[in-house]
Amino acid sequence: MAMTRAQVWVAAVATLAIFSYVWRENPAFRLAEYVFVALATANGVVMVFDSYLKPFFLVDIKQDGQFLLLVPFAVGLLIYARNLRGLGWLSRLPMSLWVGYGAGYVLAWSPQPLFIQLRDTFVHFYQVYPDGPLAGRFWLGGTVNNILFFAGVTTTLMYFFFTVERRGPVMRWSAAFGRWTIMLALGAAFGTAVQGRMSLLIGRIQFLLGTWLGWLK
Amino acid sequence: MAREIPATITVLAVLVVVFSRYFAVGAALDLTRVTDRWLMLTYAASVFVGVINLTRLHLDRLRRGKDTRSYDLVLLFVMYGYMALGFAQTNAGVTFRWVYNAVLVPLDSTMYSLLAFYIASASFRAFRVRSFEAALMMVAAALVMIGSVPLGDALSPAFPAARAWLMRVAQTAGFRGIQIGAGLGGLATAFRIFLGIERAHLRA
Repeated sequence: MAMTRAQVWVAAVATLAIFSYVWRENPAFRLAEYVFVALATANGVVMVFDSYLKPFFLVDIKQDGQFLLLVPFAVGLLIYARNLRGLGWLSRLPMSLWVGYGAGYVLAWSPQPLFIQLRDTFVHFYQVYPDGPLAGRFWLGGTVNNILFFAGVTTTLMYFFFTVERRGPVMRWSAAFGRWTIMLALGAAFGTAVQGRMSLLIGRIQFLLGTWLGWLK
Repeated sequence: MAREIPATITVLAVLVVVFSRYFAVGAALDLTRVTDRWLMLTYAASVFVGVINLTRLHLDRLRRGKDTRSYDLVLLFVMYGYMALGFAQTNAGVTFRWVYNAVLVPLDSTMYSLLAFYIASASFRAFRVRSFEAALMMVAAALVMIGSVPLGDALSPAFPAARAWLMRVAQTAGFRGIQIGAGLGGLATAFRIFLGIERAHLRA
C-alpha cells in the first residue's frame, strides 16, 4: 500500500527510534517500545472485536436469536473473575475448558501425523536414479542420503532417551551421532533465522534510504 | 467445589473431542463443529485480559512513582486511544489504517530486524569453536547462509548444493527426531491432564 509523505516521515522517525537502541538504551527507543506495545495490544483487541464480537452480537444474537451462544460467551467472561477477591476460582472454569479442549485435540488429532512421520522415517535405503540417462541404475548419493536420514532421526531420538544409562559403544556412539545431527539441524535453522532477520533489516534500510530519503532509485 | 468443577470440565472437554474423533456416533454428530464455535466465543470474550493486565501493571507503576511514569502514561493513553479509534471506525477506518501503516507496521518490522544485530553478536559468542559440536553448528549455519545468496553460487556451485543437502537431509532428520520426541511428550502431557495428574491450570 502506498504511503503518504506524512506517513513516511512518521514511519522513518519510528524506525530510527528503534534502531537507536544499537547505540544504547535511550528515551527515543523506550518511547517507541511503549508505543509499540500499546498499539499492538489495541490492534489485537480491535481485530477480535470486529471479527468475532461484533458479528456475534449483531448477527447471531440480535438478528438470528441464537441466545444459547450467550452461555459460552458468559463462560469466557468468567476469566475476569481472577481480579475479584473471593471469586477468583471462577476464572478456573474457562481455563479448565481451554486446557481440556486442547488436551482433547492433542489426543484426537496429533497421533496420526506423528505416526505418519514415524512411518516415513523408514525409507528404502537402496535408491535408483528416478530419471535421466541413468534412470533405473543404482544411485549412490540417494542411498547414502537415506541411510544418513534414517540414522539421523533414530539417533536423535536416542539422544533424548534417558531411561537407559548410556553405557557401551552402541549407546554412546549413537547418542553422539544424534548430537551431531541436532547440531547440524540447529545450525541450518540458525542460518535461516539470521537470513530472515537480515532480510527485514535490509527492508528497513531500503525504506530509510529509498522511500524516505530518496537516495535509492 | 473450587477444584472439583474445573477438574470435571477439563475431563468433559477432553471426552467431547476424543468422542467425536474416535467414535462413529461422535463423528456422525459432528460435535466439534458446534463446540469449536463455542470455544472461539470463550476466547473472544477473554480478549480484554491483556488490556486489563497492562492497565493494572502501569497504573501500579504510576502509583508507586517509578521513573518510567511518563512512558506508562503514554502507553495507557495510546492503547486506550487507539482502541477507542478502532471501536469507533472499525479496523478498516481511515485514521486507524493510517496509524497502523505509519507506526505499527514499521515498529514491528524494525523491532524484529533489530534482532539481526543481536543474533550476530550472539553467534560470535556462541560459535567460537570450542568443540566438534560447535564447529558442526557453525559450519552448517555458514553454509546455509552462503548457499542462499548469489555470492555463494558465484563462488562455487557446491555452496547451494551443500545448503540444499543440509536442509533436505540433516535439518529434516534432526527436526523430525525432535518433533517425534516433542509429539510423544505432548501426548503424555495430554493423558496426564485427562487423568487429572497434571493440575497446574487449576491453580488460579
